[in-house]
Amino acid sequence: MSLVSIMFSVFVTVALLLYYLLPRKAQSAVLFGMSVLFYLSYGIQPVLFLVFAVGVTYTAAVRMGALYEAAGNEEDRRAAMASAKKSSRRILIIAMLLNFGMLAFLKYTNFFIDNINGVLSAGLPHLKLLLPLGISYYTFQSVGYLLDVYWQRSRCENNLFRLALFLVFFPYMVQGPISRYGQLAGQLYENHDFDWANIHRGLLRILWGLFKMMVLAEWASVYREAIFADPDGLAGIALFGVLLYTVELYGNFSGGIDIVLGVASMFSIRMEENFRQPFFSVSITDFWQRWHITQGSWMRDYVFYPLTLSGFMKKFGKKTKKAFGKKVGRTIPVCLANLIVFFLVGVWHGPTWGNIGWGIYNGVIIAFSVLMENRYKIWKKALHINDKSKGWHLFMILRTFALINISWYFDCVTSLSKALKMMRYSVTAFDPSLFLTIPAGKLGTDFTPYALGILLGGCLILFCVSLWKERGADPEADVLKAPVALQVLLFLLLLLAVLALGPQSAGRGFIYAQF
Amino acid sequence: MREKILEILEDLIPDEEIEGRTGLVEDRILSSFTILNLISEIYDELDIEIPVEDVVPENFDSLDAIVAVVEKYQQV
Repeated sequence: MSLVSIMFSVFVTVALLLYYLLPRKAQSAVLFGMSVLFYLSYGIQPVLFLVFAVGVTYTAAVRMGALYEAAGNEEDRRAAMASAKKSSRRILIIAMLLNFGMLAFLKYTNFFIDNINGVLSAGLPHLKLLLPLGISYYTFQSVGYLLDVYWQRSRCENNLFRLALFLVFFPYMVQGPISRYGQLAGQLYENHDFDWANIHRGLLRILWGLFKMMVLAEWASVYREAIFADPDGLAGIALFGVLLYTVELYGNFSGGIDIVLGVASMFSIRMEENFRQPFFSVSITDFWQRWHITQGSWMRDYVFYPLTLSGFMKKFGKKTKKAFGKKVGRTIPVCLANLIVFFLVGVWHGPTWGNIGWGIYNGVIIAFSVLMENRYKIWKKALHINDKSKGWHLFMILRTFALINISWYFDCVTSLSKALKMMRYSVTAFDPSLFLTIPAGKLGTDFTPYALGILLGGCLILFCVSLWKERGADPEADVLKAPVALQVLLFLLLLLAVLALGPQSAGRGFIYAQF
Repeated sequence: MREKILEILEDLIPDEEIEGRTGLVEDRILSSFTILNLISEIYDELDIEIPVEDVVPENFDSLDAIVAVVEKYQQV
């Protein structure tokens, strides 16, 4: 069941009616039942993987919780807790291997087979593996929860139904956001009163998300696909190809997240934001704090910090401090851990060398900028650059936007040679009139100027809304404070745009659903 | 110890006012890189190790919070 379908709208409406009309104490049962139904709509087999993940996570967390509880009652509490932590560590490792092992096997086996075949010409056939919907998201949520229990940041959940609801809550299944147990779980079990404000806010967010997905991302996709399919013939607009990819990726991913957060809002549940105006970033580090925020913070808390503070990195840090001095030496292990994290982010995005290269590219730029930080300060001082000025801020935004777009070349084509060719054309050829030769999907070239107008107008609206938010405003709250007639007009305009202005090639699905 | 931690922080983020300020993590004055460098410096200068389970925003959001978490492990 696609999130952009009549079926899903009916499904959410039925769920909302049951949620608010049945006694409030049944609300979490309604959410659980509807989530299971939603997942079952993708078949029985994916459910089995989900049951496995829930079972492993629940059993391991309860076992760790019991160990800590027993240790807390011992006379020598400190020694007993240390021993409980040691035993919990074994349980944690097994549970993580089972969770990540399942994900890795399903997602990366054929990638390894391809590489073995490439190197050894082994001719091994692909395995017919199904990648269940949302497996990355519930695996990340499971492992995050297990680590929180192991570190005693969260208490373990002894109620299987409650933990299962946290892992199967249907809105996040398609493309996140990745939630933390402490932030989301309590809201799922609380009783919520019906509140029109939540419904209004949710509907507005959903319509805005649909506009980004079905109008902006869809039109961008039509032209981006044409450019990437014929890079030689359309060399004069190669630069626009990658810019359109940015619009497509952002419109599709952030629009999908708007729908998810809007649906959750209608159930009076607040999920974490996943985007914060990423194209206003002043550095790649800043970008990763604004783009797919929940994945970035997951990686930071559960991979980057533990890896940097591990025994191995501490020993490595001692050596680098000895070799390079205190300041640079202490930063090198952090940079290395950062590179490993971005390698993993690349791997997570998909089993291709392009994605891995894209991840490492981001990691190298961040590491380089950290190592060069003091040098940059000296240069800025020597060149009399005021880094608090608006001009410098704008320069940093444009520089970061360029660096991000360069990284998309690796992400959006199938081979390195094609990426390099597109890059070359981007700076050596420029002929925007070539756009007029590309048909607007089934509507033909006659409609192309209108399609480009819609795309450009949509980007302008998106830019204005983003700028509004970047300046600290809350556009949804502001709209909901406006006179009712204006609100109705805006809702109708958005609805009309979604229904009438998108290309006829709807139903491409969410780019991030495959992760 | 408070003075030593303040000194380390002033060295790591020289352009920022730290004393009496809250929201060091929330306002992105302390990045994840800076937090890890701070932990490394605290270990080198004070011989106190902050474990990963205590690397959470609330423990680094102000000088007071940082001093409190360091003191917690000083007593261990």
